[in-house]
Amino acid sequence: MKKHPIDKLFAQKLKEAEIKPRDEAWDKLQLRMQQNKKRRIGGWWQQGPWLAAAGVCLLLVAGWLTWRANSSNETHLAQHTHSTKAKAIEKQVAPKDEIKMEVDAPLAEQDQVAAALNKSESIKQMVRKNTPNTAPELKSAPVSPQPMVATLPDVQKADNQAKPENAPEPIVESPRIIAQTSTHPEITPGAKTVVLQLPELKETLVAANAKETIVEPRIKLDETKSMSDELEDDILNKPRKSTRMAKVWKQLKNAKNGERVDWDEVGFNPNKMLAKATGKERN
Amino acid sequence: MVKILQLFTSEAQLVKSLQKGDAKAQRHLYEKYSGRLLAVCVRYINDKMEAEDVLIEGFMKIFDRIDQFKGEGSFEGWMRRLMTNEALMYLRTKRHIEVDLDAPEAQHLPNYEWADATLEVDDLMAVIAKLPTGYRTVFNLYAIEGYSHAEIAEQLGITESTSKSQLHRARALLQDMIKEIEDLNQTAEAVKSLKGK
Repeated sequence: MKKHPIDKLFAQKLKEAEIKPRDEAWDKLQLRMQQNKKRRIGGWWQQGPWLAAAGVCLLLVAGWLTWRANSSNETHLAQHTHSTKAKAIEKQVAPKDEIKMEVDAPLAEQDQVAAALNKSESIKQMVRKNTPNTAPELKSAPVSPQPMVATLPDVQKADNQAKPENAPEPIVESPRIIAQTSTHPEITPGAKTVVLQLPELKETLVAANAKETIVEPRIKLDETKSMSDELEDDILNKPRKSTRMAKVWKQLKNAKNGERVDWDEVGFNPNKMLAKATGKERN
Repeated sequence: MVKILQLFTSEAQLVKSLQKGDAKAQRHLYEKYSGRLLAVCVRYINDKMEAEDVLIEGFMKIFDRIDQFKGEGSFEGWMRRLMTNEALMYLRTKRHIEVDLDAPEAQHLPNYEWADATLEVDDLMAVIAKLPTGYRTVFNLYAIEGYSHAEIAEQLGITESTSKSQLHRARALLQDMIKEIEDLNQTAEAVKSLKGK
């Protein structure tokens, strides 16, 4: 198709036409390009308010989760320490069982046992004497705290009435036993109930044994309470020290206990929040 | 400048550097083509300042979409198309491209015996600037950019016949105006020669 002369004229002349832009145009272009880059790089940052809101939500959720995890840890820890205590209790209980064994079993070598039942001191002596002999038997039928716990719910209600009576009595004795069996100074309430059984033992061995199993749950409850108190004290006290070493130490301890290590603590120290929350709960 | 020019001896090299986002290459491209591309913008948008804004936007697009240039056809042609589209978009958003259907036909028969050698680029630019926007746009696209009527119709959202009639009227008007300019030039030369005598 032949081009129209006017089209040709304009096309020829204007195709190579140049109009020099002002110098500012380049600067403007540079600026626009920088803005474009910033917009691209800071794309997410420009959503500031939304991001902040999302951050706050995340923080709340994370805080709640850690708080919940920690509170569940408290009971977990309580159970854990309870089992260690139960071992300690076992030590105390062991003699009783031995006595029972001796009483029930025809293996009892000495006639004094029956007479000794009335006198606690003699029982203790007997127990000490007998322990080496009865040790193998005990091993065959070990006294583990868990079976006791399992029997708890049934007997607990029936013996609840007996407990209050026992409670006040042994306060004097407790410190001594605690010193021997436990490393925790605060176990006292739990230990007390354990000790309670000793005087009863003197009176009726079978009844005492039954009660031992009964008292166990109560011990557990008391211990969980005391342990949670302990833990709260820990939480309350440690942030006050608020040295980095203390924090790190706590995390180490958590790791050692096989609990979740709270890394957030290094960042914004949720322990202070936690301490406030638990402190309020406590009140 | 010489150093920069030496760096980008071939267009392919320049394009490659641009695709990497090389600032020097961008500067080089701007130095080399901004004049020509601004002329394109001014042909569509009479106001030079507005045209410069469009030029800047067009360059942004060129730098942004440099990856889309696959080396088919000339690089300058690709840039011109981008710039043309940018100008059209500007016209579409900022002003309406009025399709002046009722503009008067050129009264006289076309006379192609003008001495086009005397016409300068500036004259032609000035003449085009005097055209109504609709005429100017269609004429620019058809005569200079080389679009078909179908393409123009699609670009501007008009029918092909409208595009054709716009082009005819644009040509006629341009012819008139060129005649005027030539007449003026002739009289000016005559005056000059008279004064010289």
